[in-house]
Amino acid sequence: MTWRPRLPGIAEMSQEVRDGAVSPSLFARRSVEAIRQDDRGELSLHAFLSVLDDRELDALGDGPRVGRLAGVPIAIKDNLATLGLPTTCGSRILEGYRSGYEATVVRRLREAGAIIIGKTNMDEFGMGSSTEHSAFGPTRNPRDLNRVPGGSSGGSAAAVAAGLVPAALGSDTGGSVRQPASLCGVVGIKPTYGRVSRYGLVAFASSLDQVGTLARTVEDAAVLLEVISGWDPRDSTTAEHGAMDAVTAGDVRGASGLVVGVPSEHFRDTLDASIRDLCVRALGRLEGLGAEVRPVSLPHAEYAIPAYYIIAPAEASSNLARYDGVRYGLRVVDEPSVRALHETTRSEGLGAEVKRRILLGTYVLSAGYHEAYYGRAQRVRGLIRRDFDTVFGTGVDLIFTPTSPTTAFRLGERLRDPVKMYLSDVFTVSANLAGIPALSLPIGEVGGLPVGGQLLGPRWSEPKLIRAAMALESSLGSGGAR
Amino acid sequence: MTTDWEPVIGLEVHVQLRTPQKLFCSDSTEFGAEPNTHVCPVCLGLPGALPVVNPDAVHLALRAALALGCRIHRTSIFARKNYFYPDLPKGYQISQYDRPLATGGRFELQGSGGPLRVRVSRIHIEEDAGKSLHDRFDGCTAVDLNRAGVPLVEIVFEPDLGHPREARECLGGVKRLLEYLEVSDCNMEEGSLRVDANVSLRSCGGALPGCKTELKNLNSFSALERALHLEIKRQRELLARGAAIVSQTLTWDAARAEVRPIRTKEESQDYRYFPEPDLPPLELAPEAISAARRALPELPAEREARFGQEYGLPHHDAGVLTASRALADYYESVVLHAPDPKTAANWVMETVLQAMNERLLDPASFPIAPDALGELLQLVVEGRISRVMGKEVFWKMLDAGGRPGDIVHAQGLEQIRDQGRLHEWIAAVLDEHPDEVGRYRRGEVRLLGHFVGEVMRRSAGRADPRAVSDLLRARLES
Amino acid sequence: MSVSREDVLRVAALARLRLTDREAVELRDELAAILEHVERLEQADLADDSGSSRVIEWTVAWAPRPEPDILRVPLSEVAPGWRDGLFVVPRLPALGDPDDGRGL
Repeated sequence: MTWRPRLPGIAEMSQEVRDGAVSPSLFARRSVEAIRQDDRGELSLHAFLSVLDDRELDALGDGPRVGRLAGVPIAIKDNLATLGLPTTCGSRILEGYRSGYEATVVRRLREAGAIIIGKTNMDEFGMGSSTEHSAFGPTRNPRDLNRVPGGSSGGSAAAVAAGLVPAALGSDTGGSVRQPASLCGVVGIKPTYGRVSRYGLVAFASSLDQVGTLARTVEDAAVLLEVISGWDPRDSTTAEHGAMDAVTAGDVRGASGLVVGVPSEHFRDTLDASIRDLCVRALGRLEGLGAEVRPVSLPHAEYAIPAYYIIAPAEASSNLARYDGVRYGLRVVDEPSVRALHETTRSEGLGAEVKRRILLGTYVLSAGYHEAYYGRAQRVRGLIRRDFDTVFGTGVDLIFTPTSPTTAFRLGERLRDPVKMYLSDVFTVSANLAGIPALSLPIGEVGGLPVGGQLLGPRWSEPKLIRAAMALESSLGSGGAR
Repeated sequence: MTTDWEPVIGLEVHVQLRTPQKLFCSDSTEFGAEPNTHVCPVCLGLPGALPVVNPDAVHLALRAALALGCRIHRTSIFARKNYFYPDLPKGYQISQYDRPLATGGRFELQGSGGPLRVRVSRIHIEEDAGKSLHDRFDGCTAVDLNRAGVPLVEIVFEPDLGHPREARECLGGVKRLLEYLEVSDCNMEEGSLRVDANVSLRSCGGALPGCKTELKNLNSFSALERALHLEIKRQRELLARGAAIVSQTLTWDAARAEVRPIRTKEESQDYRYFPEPDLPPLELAPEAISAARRALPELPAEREARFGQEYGLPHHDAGVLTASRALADYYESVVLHAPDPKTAANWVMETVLQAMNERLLDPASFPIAPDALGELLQLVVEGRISRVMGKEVFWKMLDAGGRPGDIVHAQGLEQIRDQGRLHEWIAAVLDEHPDEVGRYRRGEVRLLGHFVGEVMRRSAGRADPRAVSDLLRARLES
Repeated sequence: MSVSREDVLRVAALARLRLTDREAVELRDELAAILEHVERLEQADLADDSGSSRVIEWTVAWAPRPEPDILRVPLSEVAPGWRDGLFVVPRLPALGDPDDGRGL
């Protein structure tokens, strides 16, 4: 079954609201109604963990009619602190948790007139590539309900792909925006590290996490990014020049004159042939648009997954230490000691994948192993970053790769094999390790399932990435089908 | 076995930086507020909150490091120290580990065998934890997070101290230094100055000390000194029996005046430090470092030495007067108006300090302005009023304000040297005491004081005692 | 590097996770498989490593700090244990009691 109702884009919706043609809450009501309808179905998507109720919708009333996102319903991944809705991170340990403050990105959306209609499902604390590791049940892929939507921002990707919302926020630590975008057939952007505030993004791996956007079109994903980007005094890792100019105002240069690098390491014989074919076709289109395609090398690419699966769990083991049952979260009663309180809270509240990564992260940081694992991974990370610097330093504007090595897999297929699940991120983690921006857009289908292509650029090159992606998108048609 | 053992002592000092705001958020650092009111998402460790460094705290830490002669690192790195404790909101403390703010300083003090140089190993910035209250409720521990995130520096000294008294001197000197720099209030009762000590024994002249033990919970200067004495004694006795010293942590129990071991679990040692990814490396521009160096005030040890040279004060006086920056400032202002530095020193050390103690006043807000005190001392030295009268005027000024000259004039307190009036009083006194006059003339010359006193009494303290004494002697011996 | 059940239990204790015997065995095997995979890092040539592991550049060092974010949900509503304005947890030994577990 296919969920692709024709929905207006962000520009059309907000224009209608600003013009007074429709009630400011109309699109929000439609979104909520569509989500409820889905929930009633036999096999529901389960893209949302919480949604505005009628009272809250009524309270929107005749809200403001101003702003770039006036009246546009937006879905928010459930690891972004939001007032008025729970923030659970897909975890039992934060079930029902209400944040006392709001993430900077959510505040910026509201200030632009957006209506936050609900919080989307995710792998617990962002740890997973299928959204099956949510404590509240998996999300299904709208393109095939027996398949996963990818993860960890699977709820956001599914909500956008199903037309429940025009756009959504996700977060991307190793591919968590781009991989589900690819598997659901939508656009996902992981910005340059430091472009978007992480204040209010519940940390998984702080040096890798970045809030990203998902939408049906490159333009909508870009508009959302423009709204949320920019320096934030509450996040010391945001850059002063992080704000993005309006790149969507019709840049006619397209992909013309850009040099697109194709890393040999990502196009080995092991790559699925039909995915390779779609990539070759997309590269041909880029050439047709006036780009030059050139082979490049990222010699340390093979170390990206191992480095990632040391650094991310190490940071996570520390970031998740705060869930100790003292100040907020799951309540366990009548424990005999503080240690028991900590252990019971964490053992009951955290899921298997989260525990696995906490143990792994604790292990690689512990005395005697610290240098061999964590120290080495950090140095390799430096080499991976240098690979990109070298390529971008020799006249290459952008790099093209597949987003994911496979299309959407079946629910349950990879649950028992963590390493195989981790390899879902093989093309995406490098961008996080190097802190560079990356974008996934649909480039076609294999067996009725979407395939995404990934564009990567130097730090702060989002305008160029978006320009090239918009040109490629219009050449390939919506969903990359043409 | 008669091996002689000498102690090797090192200190680790935690000092709360005197900033109105916390280290990583803008909550107040005020002491004594209602529990859990100076808290926000950041210091509560709410999911998603992020730290932002307080530049004021960095500046104060830099001052301390410069004053201790440390090498300042242009780049230092915050690191997470991971451990679980209910008053540690994030499950880690943001501190500095392998790249601290500063290393390699020194601190000089008077040791038992002359001047002693104590090396400073390192100084780093870190956040405080909250407070666990064990006695508030029955059967449970309560947690107040007002203190969580308050800025601290940790100063680690090399084990260069050889005696508990030197440890006390060192801590006292550091306290005076940091108060001078206005880096910290250094209030041990409020926890803004905390000290841990480590101690081991080595055979005299031997290079290698044995295993060391750590002493915690040393909540006062005397606790530091007494706990060290006890621990050194304990180690001596063990070694005398041929037993080994075990590395361990001990706590000082003030109520029972004893040190006893705290059981430590092996795993609690594994802090899994790694660089704090939420904070950029702390970069200090060379200009900022040199500006901070230029802005350092004269340090207390330098000032103490200068007081000796410039004012000719004895060592003791210079020490007392430089105990705090405000007192030394007050003294130097008085000197500008006083007849001589030593008179000023005597009055400040006796009368002024007595008044401060009795009235709970501090030098910065002492009601008698330094120039007024200087004027008073001029009156005394010039003999216009007596010393005793001077003290009286001092307390009048303290109570009611006013200039000393005006008070003396208005209340007629000036010393009387008019020979006619003095002779009248003297004649009256000698007439009243014929017996004593006889005894004086037979050789009991110490009775002179008695006659002077009587004359002073008759004059209500206004007669010039020196003139009285001279006149009396002339009269009695004529 | 092989991982023993004791390794898993030691690390679990550090991370305050309680594991059943079965979980400990499963996690040992999973951890071993993951570590085997990540150990290929040993093949990376670090000889010309510039020594920098920091990949992030920051441009804002000393900006004015924002006011504390006001809590819109009272602590009493989110705290698992709360009494008279204080978080409450099971009785901890005071500092110096034999059981004090604070990082020493």
